[in-house]
Amino acid sequence: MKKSPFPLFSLLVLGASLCSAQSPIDLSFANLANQAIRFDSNLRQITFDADNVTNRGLEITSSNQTGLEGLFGAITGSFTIGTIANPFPGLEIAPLTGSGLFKIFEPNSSTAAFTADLNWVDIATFGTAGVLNTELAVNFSNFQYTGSYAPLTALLGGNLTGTSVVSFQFLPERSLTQLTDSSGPAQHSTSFSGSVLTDAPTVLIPEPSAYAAMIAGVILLGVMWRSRRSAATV
Amino acid sequence: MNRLKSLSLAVLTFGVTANFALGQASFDFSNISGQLVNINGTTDKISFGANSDNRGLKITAASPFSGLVNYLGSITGSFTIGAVTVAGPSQTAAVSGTGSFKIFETLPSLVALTADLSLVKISSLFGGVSINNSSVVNLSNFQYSGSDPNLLALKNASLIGVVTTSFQFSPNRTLLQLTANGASNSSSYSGTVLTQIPEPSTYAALLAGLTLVVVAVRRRR
Repeated sequence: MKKSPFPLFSLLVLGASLCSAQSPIDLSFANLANQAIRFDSNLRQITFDADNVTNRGLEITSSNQTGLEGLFGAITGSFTIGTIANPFPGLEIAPLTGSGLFKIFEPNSSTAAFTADLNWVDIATFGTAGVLNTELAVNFSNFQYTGSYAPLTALLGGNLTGTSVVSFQFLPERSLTQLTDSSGPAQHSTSFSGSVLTDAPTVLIPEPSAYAAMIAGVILLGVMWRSRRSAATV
Repeated sequence: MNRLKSLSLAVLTFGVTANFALGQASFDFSNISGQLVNINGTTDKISFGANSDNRGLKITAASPFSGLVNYLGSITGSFTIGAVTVAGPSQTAAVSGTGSFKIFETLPSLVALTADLSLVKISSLFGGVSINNSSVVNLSNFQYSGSDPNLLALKNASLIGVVTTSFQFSPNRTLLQLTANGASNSSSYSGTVLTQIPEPSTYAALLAGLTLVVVAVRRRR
């Protein structure tokens, strides 16, 4: 008796649609208009702006995980700049204490969000540029998400940790000493961008068109199978 | 030989007098979704992504022309990374090539304010990478033929300018890794621009300097 290929094909199609690609999820982000990284020279603190209404301060501008690009997020918390060292000409570096949250909101939401506990470890300035988390220590932990948006659920697929680095720049250049000089301007702010690498593997999330193609394929296979069975009966 | 000395003196004088106190207009920008800075290690080329409307970045803050916030722009051109120098934790290389920095009128217009752009230098330090982090004047020849009031205001405040850009990689990528054969890396980025029109006093200083040079050359002859 000849076995029908229908179940096998269906499983293949489903498997191809749902299998994991296994490379770790990465994403990069940049600040939104009117939202900046902010240095308070009196408090020696760093904060990140977020819109008062939407709570958004940044946008995910790329990711290898389908569905994350274009989502909005925010960095909350305040981070205090410690003692500044000058280990190399032109380079200033200092530890950062304090903790906060990295948030990625569900589409069209300003509250439902994926969150990760965050600390920035340290900060360095060199010429016009500055970097947070210079040694790329694991600084994201305790990933939390209770919603059902699949690309955000995918971030819960690993050990719930990640590494993030942020860069920014000033013109004229601002060293850490200048950014924490209370006799100068009270605040300095500028645009920023960042990158995150998590330990969660990417998940293939079929787009609606992929579902449509899959359904059409399954229907076609069903028709073929029926035709063959009818022919065999005759 | 004397001519060479005179020329050197003239260039030096011009350099000193052209060292403007920048700050006439400034703005910050960041890449927009899907448009990244790309570094191809095989060709050692740097490029900046732009969408089908030629937009790749957004102005996120501006002073004093705050009306420019949310304007979209792009960085075009072909830039090549030269030999990498390692100094402590930093790696640096000159960048050759020219391009344009553009800020477009609001969609669907394709008319833009443009400025000639050179990237000058690229440096990596820890997870961060910066372009022109020594603040060299690298924007010139500002052009705009449209009638958008915000772009006109910026054009009128801009004869020369400085743009610096920063980006980052996780995991860390040094300049040597970014320029290794077969490497291909992309990242989000942000940047800041300062533009300036030299004040009358600067022109006066320039004129005085050049006059002094001419007098010195004549005396030598």
